[in-house]
Amino acid sequence: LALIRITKGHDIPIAGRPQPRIIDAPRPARVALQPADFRYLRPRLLVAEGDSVKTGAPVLEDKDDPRIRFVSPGTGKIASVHYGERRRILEVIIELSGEEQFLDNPPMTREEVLGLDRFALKNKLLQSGLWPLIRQRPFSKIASPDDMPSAILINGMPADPFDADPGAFLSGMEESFQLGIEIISRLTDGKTHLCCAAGASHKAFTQAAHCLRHEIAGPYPAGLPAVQIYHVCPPKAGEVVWYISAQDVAAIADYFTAGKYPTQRIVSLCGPSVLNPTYLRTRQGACAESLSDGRVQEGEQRYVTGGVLTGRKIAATGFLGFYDSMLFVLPEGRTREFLGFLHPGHDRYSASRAFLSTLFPKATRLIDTNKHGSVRNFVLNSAYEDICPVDILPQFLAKSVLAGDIEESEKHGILDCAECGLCTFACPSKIELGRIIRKGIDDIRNEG
Amino acid sequence: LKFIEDKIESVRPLFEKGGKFEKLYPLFEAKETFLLTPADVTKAAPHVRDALDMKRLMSIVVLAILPCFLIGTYNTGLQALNAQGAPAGVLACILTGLRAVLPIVVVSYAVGGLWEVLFALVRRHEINEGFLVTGLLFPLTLPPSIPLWMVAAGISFGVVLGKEIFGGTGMNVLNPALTARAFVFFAYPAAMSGEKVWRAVDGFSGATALGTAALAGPDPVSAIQSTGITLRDAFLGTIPGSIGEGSAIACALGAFILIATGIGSWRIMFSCLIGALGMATFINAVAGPQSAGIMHLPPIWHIFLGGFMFGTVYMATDPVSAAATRAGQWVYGLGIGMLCILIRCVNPAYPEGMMLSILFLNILAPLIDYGALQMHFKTRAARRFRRARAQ
Repeated sequence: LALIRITKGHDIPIAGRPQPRIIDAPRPARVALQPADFRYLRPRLLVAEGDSVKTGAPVLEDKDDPRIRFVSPGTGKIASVHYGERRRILEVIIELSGEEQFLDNPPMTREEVLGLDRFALKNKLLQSGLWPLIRQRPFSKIASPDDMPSAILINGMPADPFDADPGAFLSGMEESFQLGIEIISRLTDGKTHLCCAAGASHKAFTQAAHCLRHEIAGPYPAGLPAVQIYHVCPPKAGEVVWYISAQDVAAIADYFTAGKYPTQRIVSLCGPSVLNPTYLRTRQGACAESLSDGRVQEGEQRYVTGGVLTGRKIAATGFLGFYDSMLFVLPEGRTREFLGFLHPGHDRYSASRAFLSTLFPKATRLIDTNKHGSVRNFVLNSAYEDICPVDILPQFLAKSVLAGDIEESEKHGILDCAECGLCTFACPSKIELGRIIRKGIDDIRNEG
Repeated sequence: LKFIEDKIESVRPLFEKGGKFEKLYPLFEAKETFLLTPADVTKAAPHVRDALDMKRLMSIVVLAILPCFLIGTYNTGLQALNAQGAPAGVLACILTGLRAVLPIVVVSYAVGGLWEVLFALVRRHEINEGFLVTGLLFPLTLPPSIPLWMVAAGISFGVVLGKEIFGGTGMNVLNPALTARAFVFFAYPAAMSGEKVWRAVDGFSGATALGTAALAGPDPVSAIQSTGITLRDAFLGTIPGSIGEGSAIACALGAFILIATGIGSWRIMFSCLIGALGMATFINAVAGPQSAGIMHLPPIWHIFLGGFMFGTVYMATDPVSAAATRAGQWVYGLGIGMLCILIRCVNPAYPEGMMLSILFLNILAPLIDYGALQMHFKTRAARRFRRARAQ
């Protein structure tokens, strides 16, 4: 056990942190698969509108590697397939109906599972549709089954202070979690790392075997696996490191022992617009309405699947993302203020010290989606100094990406960028640094 | 408030694409966002943003400059009244000072602002708030007797060649206010240096303290004190000099605002000070009896006299033209401090070295940052490699 202290980062005191109390959400009427959850995926649709699907039945496959498939997280009918520009599939919506039926699969005992070799395990994971739960660094894309990762990291921390904390909901799942760790650790010849929050006392963590445990301390984004990988086991050039969340590790074990696709997920419903932020027990890919109904304030709201700094904006009628364990709701900030730059700013939040609020810190503030300014050139360099958790100088990196200098970007460590969103948050010039850096990462991937 | 919002919305179509005044959109945008904060919301992650923006940032810098402006104005009046032998009450000083200073500031803002707007319209970018700082800093570096047309010529040069041709605030290599001052300094030397320019009274002679020291013998302090200037005067800023640069206490107040809000780099200010003190001490030590008087000037006088404090606090810290890496900022600041004293001491043509040393280090800043980045790459890669090997 090693304690790793991450000093750089920033906790934004937004209101609406969840109580670690699990409530059963009503059964969602619809669930969906959204290819946008998977980086660089070119999906092929395997079903048509109107088809009936069982839970665990293949719905999409990866055109580049058809072994990787995405299965229906529920039993029902394909209600609709939404396309975006250039016929890109946005969402495949499944209307849940009738009794839940699973694709046949024999349950296995713990010993039988552990008797499987690496090849058999991989095949089962690919077949089950659970393989996409394992992602790789760099590029944060689905792991490639033929790669040999130099290490695998299991994230037992909430991604940010709003995320569902595995330490708070793994009770009763200890055995699954341990079996999951053993399954996962068989996929690599290297080490399997388990990262949990400093002081995490849950016995699922403290008694975890077949892995190296690390305690991580630090402000956001210490809970992001990309940041943990940078500090624990950064991949060398040409290597990949795989990562998966603790909740998904337990889900994988459940699949093996029950023979059924695990549909249940614990999700945090949080943010300043949520009436009683708490954890909800729901399904993978559930529609947001099933979670938010009656629990969110009136008025124009922004729904985000995932963290407020990293997640994807969805409609109020949208769906939870494949990997996400939080639904964040915050007010849209369209109100304008008279002579705002002269405001003393006792109620504004800034990571800088340019507002009176610095002198009167509060545990939480109501922060909305307003950009608080218009776009300018880079001016203030001190804004990014202590914020990047992976030792990148964001404004210099962004400039090298804009100049198209891939070599320089790599020296900056662009592939370590955790896409945590902090540099974009803090930028007083309102430059979308994250988007620029992400484009640099995409360019590197596309050039091979 | 609703009234303003309605008014703006009612004229908006005129300025948007296809409207009658489409070409004037940047002007509309500047006015609109000056009055009301923009209603823009984030489009994608991160969904929340920091409250700090350029308007706020530049307002704070202007706020930090105000002490210099106020004390500078008072002192300009004081010097003029003293020269005339008139009674110098506080109110009289301020009024006399305002009469001399206000036209300079107004011309600087008006002419510079005109260029700013013209470029914004032609190049279709927003009007940059950075000009609010440049337009106030520049007048404070000028002698109070400067003819207004020179102010106009200077600020035009500073804004156009110092900033706009590079692409506006954020793209410039040199500090625009200092570029403007350098232009006036070299183009119209008679109006910028010499003995007659430091008081807002016609025909009155009187050198600056640094000028006195440059010509003095091995005891420059008594030479300065014999002109009636004490260290306390230098600290308070009640001595002849450029309008806003004289008061160490006003600069210190500005430095406090900039450092407390995190907008000015304390590393640059601190290293600048260290550089100057170190260099002055060194020169004191090597100066012989034949050396120019200023080489014997004690370090503390160097700090309080001339534009050192003003340059350190407001000019050297300009985040656009300064070094941006942390390590680079130390080198940059030390360089400015040392070079300033070196110029003052060994180049008799320029008793004031701050402007030239800052401009010189502005030019070197990208090179300094380049070096600091190479170091950063090395240490980062080494640290990362150690971790990769350890696992």
